[in-house]
Amino acid sequence: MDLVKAARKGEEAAFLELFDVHHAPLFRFAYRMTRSIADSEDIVQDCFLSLLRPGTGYDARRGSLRTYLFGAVRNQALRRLRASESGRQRAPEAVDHRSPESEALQAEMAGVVERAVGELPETQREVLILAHYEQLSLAEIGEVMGLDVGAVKSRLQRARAGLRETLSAYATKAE
Amino acid sequence: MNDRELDEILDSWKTPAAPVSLRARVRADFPRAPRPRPMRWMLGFAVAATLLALPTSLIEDNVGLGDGFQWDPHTFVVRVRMMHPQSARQQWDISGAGTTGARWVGGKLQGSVFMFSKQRNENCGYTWSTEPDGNGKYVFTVLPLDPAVLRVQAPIARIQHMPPPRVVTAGSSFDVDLYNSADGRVYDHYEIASHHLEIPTQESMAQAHATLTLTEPNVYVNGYLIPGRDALKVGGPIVSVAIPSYGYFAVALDPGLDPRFIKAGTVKGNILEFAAGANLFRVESSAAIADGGERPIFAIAQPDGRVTSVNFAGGFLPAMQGKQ
Repeated sequence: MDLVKAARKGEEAAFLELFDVHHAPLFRFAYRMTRSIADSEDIVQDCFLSLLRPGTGYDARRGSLRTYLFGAVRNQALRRLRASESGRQRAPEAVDHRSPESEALQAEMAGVVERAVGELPETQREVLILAHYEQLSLAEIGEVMGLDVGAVKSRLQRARAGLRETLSAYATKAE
Repeated sequence: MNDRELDEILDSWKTPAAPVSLRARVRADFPRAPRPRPMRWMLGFAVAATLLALPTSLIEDNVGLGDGFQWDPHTFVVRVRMMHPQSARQQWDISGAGTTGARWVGGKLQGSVFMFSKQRNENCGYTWSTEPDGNGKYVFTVLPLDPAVLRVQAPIARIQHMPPPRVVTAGSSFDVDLYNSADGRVYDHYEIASHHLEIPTQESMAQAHATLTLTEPNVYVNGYLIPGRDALKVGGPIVSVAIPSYGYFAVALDPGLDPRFIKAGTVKGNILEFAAGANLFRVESSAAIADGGERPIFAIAQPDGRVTSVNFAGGFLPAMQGKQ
């Protein structure tokens, strides 16, 4: 039986199965967009609960649940970023990067990449995160963002070109 | 830097895992079917004086399907929102449904329920009041919807026949209209019991509420009994009857989305009447045909002068199957 339909009928087990299958990539996406654990939790929670509300947008005939949920996370993340005047400048929440000396470089690199991705134009950042980190196809990203595949592809190319430039100085270090 | 090198660098940015507590948070907010909720103001008449001091109760969303509550420690009530026929569902937005909850005012428990239709730009609903007589009975009164409770300022659909106050007690069931017009009906079905009641699903209620049952039926045409009785009992969401010299007729309480059914009459108690052409058909049953009060009947007529005997069936008669 369709898990969404079952969940909408009040079957908690179906709802939790949906959560278990989808929440991890959604949380990662929300975090990479907002760089806030608290915001990401709220966003993921809202997205799952929104599935149950009558009249909300998910319709299996129009697309996959996966792209619907990514789209819902995207919308909420953007709303939160725009509501916060310092959205793009917000400092990432403290993530425990403490590590042995040998991992210090890796932690430093992670911070650099996080900043570099965060400084990309919003539309390029979304595409890059969805494509590189969540491995969505260009068509799926197009569905999430309401773009055609060509536009997704060009944004991804620009994002990667920008990052290549920003991060080139670190390429040697990483090796 | 080539693509592989860029990918490796990008991969160094890891995200924290979703907190384990997130699952519990989401689960806690999963909207389970509402159950009868003993509320502070429902503890009984012994503490009524205290209850009078309590503020207005809950404003609830998503009451489009039904809810349950107690009027006193021994009186359990469930209310299920029904829409009839199916096309009526398309006009009213369940997500726009609300209730004020209930509060004691001057010895009466009062509240309002309402729905808003964006499509119609219209509210519908009613304000209710119930007054205990002290012997386990209540006088339940339906009043025009109090406009002060509305969230959306828009006209209120007028209820054409405001029912008189009724005495209800454990075992009673009754319906209250929010909206009732030629194009559909939205109403609440109430059931009252002296014990905890599970809230029936809207689907099961709709199924039960749409069932016609003919028990030892007799058929009259224009007031004359048509001899011959075919069945002791037939029932279902659709029942059909073959009437000598007139043809085949299928009737239903809910036409569903079948456009061939047209509103043709009414059913009330043991009597079902409908018109087809210039003739008035009447079926008398030895037991109630449908629950509720007077309700509209939808019919498909298939005139056929060759029919020679009375014949009933749950569903369509074989001679009508080609019409399905």
